[in-house]
Amino acid sequence: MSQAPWAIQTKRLRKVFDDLVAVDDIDLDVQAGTITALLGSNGAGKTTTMAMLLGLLQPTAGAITMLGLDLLKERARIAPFINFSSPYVDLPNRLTVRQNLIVYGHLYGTAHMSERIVQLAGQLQIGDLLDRRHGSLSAGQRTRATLAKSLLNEPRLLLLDEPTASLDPDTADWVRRLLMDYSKTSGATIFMASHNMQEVERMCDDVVMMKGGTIIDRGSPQKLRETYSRENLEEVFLDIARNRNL
Amino acid sequence: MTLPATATFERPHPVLRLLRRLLAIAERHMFLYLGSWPRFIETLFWPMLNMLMLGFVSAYMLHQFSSATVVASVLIAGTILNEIMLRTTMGMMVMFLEEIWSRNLGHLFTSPLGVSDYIAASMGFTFVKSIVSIVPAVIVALLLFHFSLLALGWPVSLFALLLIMNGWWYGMLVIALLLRFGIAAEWMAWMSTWLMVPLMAPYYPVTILPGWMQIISWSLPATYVFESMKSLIAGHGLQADYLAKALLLNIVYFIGAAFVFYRAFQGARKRGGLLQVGE
Repeated sequence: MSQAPWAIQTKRLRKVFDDLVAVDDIDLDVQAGTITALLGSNGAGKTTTMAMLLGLLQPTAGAITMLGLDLLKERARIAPFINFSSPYVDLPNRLTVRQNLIVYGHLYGTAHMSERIVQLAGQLQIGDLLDRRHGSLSAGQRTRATLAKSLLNEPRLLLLDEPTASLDPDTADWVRRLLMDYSKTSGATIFMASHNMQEVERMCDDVVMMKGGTIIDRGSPQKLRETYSRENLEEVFLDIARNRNL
Repeated sequence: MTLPATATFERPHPVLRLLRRLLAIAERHMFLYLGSWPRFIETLFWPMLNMLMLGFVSAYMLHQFSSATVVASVLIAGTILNEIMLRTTMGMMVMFLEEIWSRNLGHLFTSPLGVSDYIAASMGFTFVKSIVSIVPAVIVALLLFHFSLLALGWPVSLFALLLIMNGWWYGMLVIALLLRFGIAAEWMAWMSTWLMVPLMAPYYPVTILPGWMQIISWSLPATYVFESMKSLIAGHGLQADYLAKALLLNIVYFIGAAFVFYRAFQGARKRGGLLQVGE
């Protein structure tokens, strides 16, 4: 079966809240099978862009194509093939981790549910947490449980907001490796927002820089470092945020 | 362009996929109730408490006026049937509030769950929940007050069904209120579930209400159900035309409420309310 060359494409995507232009006519192409990061300071428009891509926020104008289909018209066809995780959107606190995974497994139509849950529990090291209530978990454990939910349906497109938020350096390290392996072995696309520049440098093939609701630069981490003559992505980020070398 | 297949993703018949989604929502709330005894007991508690209160009022009336058997029976039957409608409306509202309280709306509505799936699942779950919630009240009525709701015969199931339908569309309007104004409108939502009760006259004839209230009362499907119930208890027959009117009004209001709900949902999508339904 063929695969769309672009996992995400937006054309003149715009979102206006009252008199605030949160996202201003952005054209975004994310190649299938890559890991792409969306970077920007607070208020740059990342969360708004991500919410529009998830179908949770209706654009004021513009088009979104995901996995080759128009998101605004064919969300029902696309939804089974995407998933997401964010530390700012929770799972039901009073359900156990296993119960949440069962509910979402049924929503996504996951086959061989029990095996899939055991497999993910092993990969994300949450086996001993499966029968604990989501609300009783630490922030880092919740991040891993939510990541398990986001991988239940083996998504072709995985949208992640701060995927390693609240994780200790060791756990964050193997979670990054897990996500990179997942993308590599399954050919899935990962589109993520992160403030961790080292994480982005390590994981991402492509970086999209946003500021004031627009895309102001993009390229591989290496290309951006060369363009801005900087040692690392964090310095590039600071240059852009502080209008230096632009 | 075609979507790529995944290793563990089944593509069974669309009806089967729809059923799975509906069951997933029911399952999510079943897990919640089975894992939380206070929640489960609360479901049974209020209908039983109201039954006890109005049951004793009816027992007192019978003690004072032996001829008040019809009024006493109306009080008890009205209490049980009123609870069916209330529990359905509240059930729809609480299901949605649970998603707001747990900040789960974002996950739900990025999944393959559609808006109409969610409403259908809520309707199915509240149907079962409201029937289960009145079982203790029915038993209390029988054991303490020697009143059997089932003695009214098969029309009871029609009354219950029409009142559940009333609860469904009213529940959709309450959810629309929450979608529009967020959790800040929670107190308004709780209040509005009781708003219709005096108007639909479950315990007294509609003619007792002031003229302007009667006009509103006759616009509610539940009023026709309760009038039919009172007529049946008084031995004047079922008044099938009233039940037909209740059904017709329920259908009209259901369509209207679905439209309002859909508009409120779209509005929340425009404002970003699905990610930030809060104060």
